[in-house]
Amino acid sequence: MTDTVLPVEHHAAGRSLGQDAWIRLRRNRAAVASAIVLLLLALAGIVGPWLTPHSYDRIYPQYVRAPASLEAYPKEEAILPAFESALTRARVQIGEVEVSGSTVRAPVSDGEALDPRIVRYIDRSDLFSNARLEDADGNPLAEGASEGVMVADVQRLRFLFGTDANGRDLLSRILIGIRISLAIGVLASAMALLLGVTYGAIAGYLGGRVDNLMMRVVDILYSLPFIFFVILLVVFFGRSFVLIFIAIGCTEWLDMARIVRGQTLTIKRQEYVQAAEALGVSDAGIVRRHIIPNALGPVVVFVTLLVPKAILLESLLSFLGLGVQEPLTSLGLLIAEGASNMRGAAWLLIYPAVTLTAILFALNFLGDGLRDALDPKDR
Amino acid sequence: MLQNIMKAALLSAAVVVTGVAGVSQAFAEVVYNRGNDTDPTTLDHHKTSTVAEGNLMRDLYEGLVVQNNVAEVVPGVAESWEISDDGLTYTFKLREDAKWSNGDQVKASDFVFAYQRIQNPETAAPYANMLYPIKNAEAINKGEMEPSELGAKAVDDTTLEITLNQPTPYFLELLTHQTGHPLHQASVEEHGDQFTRPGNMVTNGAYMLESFTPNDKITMRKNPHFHDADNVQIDVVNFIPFEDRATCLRRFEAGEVLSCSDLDNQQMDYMKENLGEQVRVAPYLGTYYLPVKVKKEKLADPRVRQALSMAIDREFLATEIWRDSMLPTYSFVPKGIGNYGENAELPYANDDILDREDAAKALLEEAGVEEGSLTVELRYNTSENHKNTMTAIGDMLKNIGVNSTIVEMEGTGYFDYMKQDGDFDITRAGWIGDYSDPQNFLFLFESENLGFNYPRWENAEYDALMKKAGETIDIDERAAVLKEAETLLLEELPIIPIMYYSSGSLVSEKLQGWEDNVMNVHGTRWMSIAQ
Amino acid sequence: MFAYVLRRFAGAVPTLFIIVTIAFFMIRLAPGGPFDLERPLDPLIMANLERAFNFDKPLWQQYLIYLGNLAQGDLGPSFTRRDFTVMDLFRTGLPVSIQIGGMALSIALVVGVFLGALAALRQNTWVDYMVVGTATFGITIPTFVIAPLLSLFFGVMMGWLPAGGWGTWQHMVLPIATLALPQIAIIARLTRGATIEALRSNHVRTARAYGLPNYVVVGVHALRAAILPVVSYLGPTAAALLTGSVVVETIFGIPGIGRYFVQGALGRDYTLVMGTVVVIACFVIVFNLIVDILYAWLDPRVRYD
Repeated sequence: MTDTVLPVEHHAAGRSLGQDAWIRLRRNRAAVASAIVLLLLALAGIVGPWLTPHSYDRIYPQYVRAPASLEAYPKEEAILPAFESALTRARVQIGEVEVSGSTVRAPVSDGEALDPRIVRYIDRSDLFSNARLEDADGNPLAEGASEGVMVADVQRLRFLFGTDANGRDLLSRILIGIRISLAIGVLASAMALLLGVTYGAIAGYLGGRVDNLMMRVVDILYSLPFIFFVILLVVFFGRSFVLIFIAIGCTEWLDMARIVRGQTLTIKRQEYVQAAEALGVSDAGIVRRHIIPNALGPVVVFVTLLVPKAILLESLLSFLGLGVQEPLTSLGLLIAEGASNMRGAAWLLIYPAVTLTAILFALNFLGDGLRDALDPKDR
Repeated sequence: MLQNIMKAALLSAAVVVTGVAGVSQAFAEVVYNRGNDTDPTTLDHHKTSTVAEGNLMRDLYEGLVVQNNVAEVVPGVAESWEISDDGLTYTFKLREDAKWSNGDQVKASDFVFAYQRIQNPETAAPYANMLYPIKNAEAINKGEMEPSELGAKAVDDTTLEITLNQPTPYFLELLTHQTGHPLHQASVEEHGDQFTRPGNMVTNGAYMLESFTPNDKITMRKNPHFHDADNVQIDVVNFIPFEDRATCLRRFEAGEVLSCSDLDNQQMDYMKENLGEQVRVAPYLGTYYLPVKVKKEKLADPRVRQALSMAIDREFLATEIWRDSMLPTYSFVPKGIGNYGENAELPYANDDILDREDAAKALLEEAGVEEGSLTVELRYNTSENHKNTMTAIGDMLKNIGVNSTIVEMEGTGYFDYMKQDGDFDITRAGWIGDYSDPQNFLFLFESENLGFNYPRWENAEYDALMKKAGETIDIDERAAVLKEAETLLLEELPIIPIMYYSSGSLVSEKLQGWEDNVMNVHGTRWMSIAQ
Repeated sequence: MFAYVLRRFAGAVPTLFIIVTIAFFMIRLAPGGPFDLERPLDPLIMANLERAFNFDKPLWQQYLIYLGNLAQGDLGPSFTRRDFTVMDLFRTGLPVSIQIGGMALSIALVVGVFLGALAALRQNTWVDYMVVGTATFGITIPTFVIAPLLSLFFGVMMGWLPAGGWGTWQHMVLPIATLALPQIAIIARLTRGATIEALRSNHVRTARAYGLPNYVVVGVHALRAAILPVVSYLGPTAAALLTGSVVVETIFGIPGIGRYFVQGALGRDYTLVMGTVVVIACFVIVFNLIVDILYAWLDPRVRYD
């Protein structure tokens, strides 16, 4: 309320509507915090997948459904049996296996000359790397020797959030999931925005029969169930990232069109529009220069609500098995997978769910903040 | 307003009272809540085909012969039968005390009526081909002959004579399938397509239909006229459809259902840990395999297909992805199938995966495929397990320098696509046997079998072998011919066998008489519930 | 007003016709048919089946047959549930969905409006923060996570309520809770925002200036204005809730109609899909009308003539 008594010099500086809103948005702590969280998450989604030690589609066959852990894998007690079983597959005689620090060694022998290629049995394991055959003094084994020592480094891997049912790092998958989910949310909303604003502004501005007809089309599409539309799109075109945001965008623009049309009807009666008309500005010009910019306030607020809605819709599609294509993933898909694993592998549900909740929380608070900031009545 | 609240309170009190009354009445009644895979397409058994439907039909009807709780073929409506020396004529003697649920006697003519009806093109029975071994059946189904010309005749009320086209060693077992069940002629004719409605439906099995609420349950009550009714221990069975296996698991744990017809692989570890012996995994007559489109130039060379097959670590898929609910395999025909000996097997079945990868690389080189130059598309229908399987296979192919892309398709479109000779490289498919005979698996890849032969593999030698097997009477000789066919199939490898299916079930400790068996058949009449 | 309602209903007929037409051709263009199962059928048998269901006729002819039947109120037989007509399925399923959806809607409305108004009146206090925080949380958790969690906790671990199934009032508690929770959250947020705005509006200030008691000001004047956005939100929401939820019905095993849509579309059960489209469209149309009428009644500035 104090804002109503604005100091005069501020007016003289010509503070625009946008600046005004910006200042008020900055005063809203929840909104600022949300914006920061969102920015960080978006950043994590964009650059995160390149920074994590594991690629989101890298499969570690020996770490299927490894629980989340701060400690590095492999666990101490797992090293010895893993080394032994890998060596057994190489079909050589094995002496006693020793683990010291991060190296494992075991004497090996064979009836004939040791095949140097047997190191790959160790290297193939996710637990070890840099396997080599040495003689008793630690020098590389001479060719043709039938006895030696197999030495390998223990490969320390960290899976902070655990791994999934294929043995892929969940953290990396969540990061790529953030990227996909946010992209779907933003692109679907952008699409709804583009379609809805254009359509609504044209219908509202032209009015009369055209308006009637255009709104009738919206009513009809409104009564066609969303899932029907998406299932058919997926059936026709297969599943792809592009298709999903188009599908969501295509169903979400209807509300937008209605809002913009309502706004346009109001704005059209304003004096400045009538003045422009009198001056002979073209219809397209008026829609572009006057109608759309002035209807933007409620539209922006609606968009911030649309983004979370699109993300949730995508997760519903994932639950129905119509989500994005492997090896890509989305938060919704991860949660759907996690929900079916919740009894045995709770981490598969918890981490993606927490991430999604954080994103949606932030978007909601940011939306509220924006609404308060943009609301002209609130000044 | 207040009045309404009072009314509601009274009403709910009444509900509680009747509920209690219901419980006390139910005390004498043994109720079995049984999880099933899905609702049936219909209760008209001529129009059914799935395992879930088979479970329902097994309780509602009794065929000439039936499978007992360990899947042995035992007398059903027929108390005895004779087979002619040429293996072409079966004469069944029906028991006099076999009764329909309305008290009528089950007559030989009821079987003739049913067998003629299923072949009638107007019935449009999806599984009519199960009974094609009966003389003239196929011609009738094609509309070339009249139903009355079928090779099934009622000599008198209790004698049924069935003539076959050619000797069929698995014919008796075929008759245990739901397509071999009789129909009550009078009620079918009276009610037309409404004959399956509760109240109209007359059945001759241990149970009769009481109600059917879609997506909720099918309730069956013990048939008092059933000839073995004295030994039927469970009074009421509720078949509950579970599309979501996790839901069945929760209701099982809450004690609301006594068995689940399938296991949620995702929760396998949890179940094994917490439910112990109640988790049942049994070998099953089914194979999970990858059809390879052999017409495509890059996949036309059998060496390339063998190389791809070698690189697939079946043990990993079975134990890690499917959590031991599948078994690794290098053969196509399931082990332990009837009328067959030792399986044909891929030669590298017992080799280490790394050696196999070396061999695979060598084979690819021999076939002129450079490392990294071959990219295959792996296509599957929506399911988390198939997704994980294909993802893992793609990773395995990477080890021999073969790239892969993964494409998921929604179910109905997927099967249509494969059947219509879609432009795929490698897909997944599964086959569950209808009867325990290798023919039921090997016939899938006959050149003419366009519905099933997804790879569109054409091999005259294979077709000739299959034809020869069909004409061979001696079981051992026939088995040898079929094995030759399987060997050829595995040499050419138009399909890569990956895993054998297991049947998984949750069976409560209270439920007795449920025996694991390879056909996964569990008639309720053999079970009882311990208090 | 009566004339207006009548006119709206008359206008619904062409809308429905267009929806039916779009849906019919879209679903028929999708690859595969109702008989393409995992285990394929013999081509000969397939031909028998297609003949039995008129699939061998040209598409436009099938369309006319369907329209003719629809005009007589016949939604046709279901292809994937052949013991039932589509009408039978709705007759048993719709009351179930309406019961659950209606209860969830009523609870969400009462609780949501109450919480929202409470938060608005105590703006920027801990009550407000609690409501807003919980409400946001409620919106962000997908139903397919809440439903199994509730079933697990109350059904399996505590044993207080059935884990799934249908029959007694106990079976309804968890599904209703699952459906109502996110709606409570949304309605509370809508009410809160609108109430705050209404409390600042001129007519409420005037009412206060006249010295009307606070509860009259809030209860009659502010809430009446505040309920408007809730009402317009409720239109499509009520239609969606009453026609069932796929997720809730699958997870709790409830015989409503929510699943038919997905089952029908994925199984290419053409008539079932069409029937569902028609039912949902009718619900949307009717509830939009109800919303418009309620609007006129609540907000004297809106008039329909």
